[in-house]
Amino acid sequence: MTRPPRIAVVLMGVALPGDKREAVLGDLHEEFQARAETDPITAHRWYWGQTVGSVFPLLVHRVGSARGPLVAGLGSGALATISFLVLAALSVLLFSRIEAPGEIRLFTYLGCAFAAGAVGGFHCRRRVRGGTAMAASMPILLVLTLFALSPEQESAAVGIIWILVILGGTRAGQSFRPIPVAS
Amino acid sequence: MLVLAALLRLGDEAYGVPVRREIEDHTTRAVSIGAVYTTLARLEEKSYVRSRMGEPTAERGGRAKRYFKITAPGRRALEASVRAINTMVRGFVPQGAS
Repeated sequence: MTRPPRIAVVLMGVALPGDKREAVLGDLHEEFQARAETDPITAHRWYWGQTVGSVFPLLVHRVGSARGPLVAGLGSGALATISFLVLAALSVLLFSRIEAPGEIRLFTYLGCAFAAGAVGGFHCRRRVRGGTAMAASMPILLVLTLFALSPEQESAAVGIIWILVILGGTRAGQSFRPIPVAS
Repeated sequence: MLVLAALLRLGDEAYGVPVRREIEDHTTRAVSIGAVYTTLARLEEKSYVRSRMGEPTAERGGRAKRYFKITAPGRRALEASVRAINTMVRGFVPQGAS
């Protein structure tokens, strides 16, 4: 039995993602063996031709797949943050005009955070899994929460509630039916 | 579109080798196995195809096949593309045609 060129097999193994490696290397092996029965030299050339023609598109796809979720996750985090800031600013404006007990203020901020998380979650559901988006959102949320901390108790409470509830909101946002992304 | 059409023609026996061969035979253009799998991965992300792993065989160096099947949305997308192309080329006569 003729063996496929070793270096080409290693190159393909590096370029292929884990879940495709077995199937693609198996396909190449199967077709290589069929060709090697009649002409081993041509079979070797064919294998190298397939490797050269495959490595670039596979690597591009692999890099693109890895970058996509991160970018979409960061986008969702940013969208959730902006949504929260807008809603919280509107709430602060409202409470500067009308008197409201502490509990009402607290529940309002809680609702703002939940809605913001839902917006971010809905956005990320179109592109990536929830876990990726949450992981990408966390640094943004943590940094902005540090800014939100002030000597006033209310700001600190808003920051803590924000982190806790935005995660719940994100999950809720993901439960919406995803919109297919156009190619 | 070519990959979806190949899956439709091959039915339950569609995996990398026959898909690549089907495209090469009907288009007379060389296609790399990497390009086929990259396309299949994108189609699977869009839920146009689904895949399942087969059993490992000796002729494949002990590696399993990954079988692909076109889904209902994939079939609809293919039909829409074919309709669009038919509409676009209506009245078009290729050079050399009698």
